[in-house]
Amino acid sequence: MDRPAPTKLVVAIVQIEDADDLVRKLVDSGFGATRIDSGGGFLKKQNAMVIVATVEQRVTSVFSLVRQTCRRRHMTWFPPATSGMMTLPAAPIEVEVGGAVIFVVPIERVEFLSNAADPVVSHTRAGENDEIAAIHP
Amino acid sequence: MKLLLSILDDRSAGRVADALVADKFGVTRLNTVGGFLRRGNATLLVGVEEHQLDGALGVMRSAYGGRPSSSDSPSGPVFVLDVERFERV
Repeated sequence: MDRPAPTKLVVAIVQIEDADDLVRKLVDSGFGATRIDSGGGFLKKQNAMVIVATVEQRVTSVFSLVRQTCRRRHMTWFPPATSGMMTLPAAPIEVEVGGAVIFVVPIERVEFLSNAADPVVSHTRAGENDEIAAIHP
Repeated sequence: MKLLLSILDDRSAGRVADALVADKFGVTRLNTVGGFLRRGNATLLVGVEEHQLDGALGVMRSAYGGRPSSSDSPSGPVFVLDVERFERV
């Protein structure tokens, strides 16, 4: 299959709770996504980097998917409200979750360490190369 | 200065990283999980001076070797990124 070479590397740093959803949506849309769990400098909160290599024309789609899954939003958190013998309803709290930072870095070139014309051919586990192919848009 | 970002399967990443270190290239390895099939990958980051670029790629190719492949698609992508500024503190 002839795919145009990727020219942009999109690096999104997202909340860890949103990472699964984002990766799934990216893969479903035909993007290869690589996830690296990482930690933020502020409050040491764990986050995740999601990296996508793609062509310039598809960068807006990646942004759109990040916005859909990772936008800053409020949710209502109901704190557990038991104390001793009495159960008192505690007021629900509005918390802000989500948010993402996205970098777009130009890819100067792409090299492959394997040689596609390599005469060494043998059977592999099913789907093994699908994973690598999924990295390319 | 160039930054090489390579996403490899776990075993290849080990061989390639070791070969780079043996040739005095600095490598940072990030264990990652691919979005498709979710099997273990690793991302290698290598900073190289422009004049060392072809040498580094050669070391990586040799260490990667002829990975057995049942398809014709190339594997072992390495993204070459330009570094605008580099500082060591």
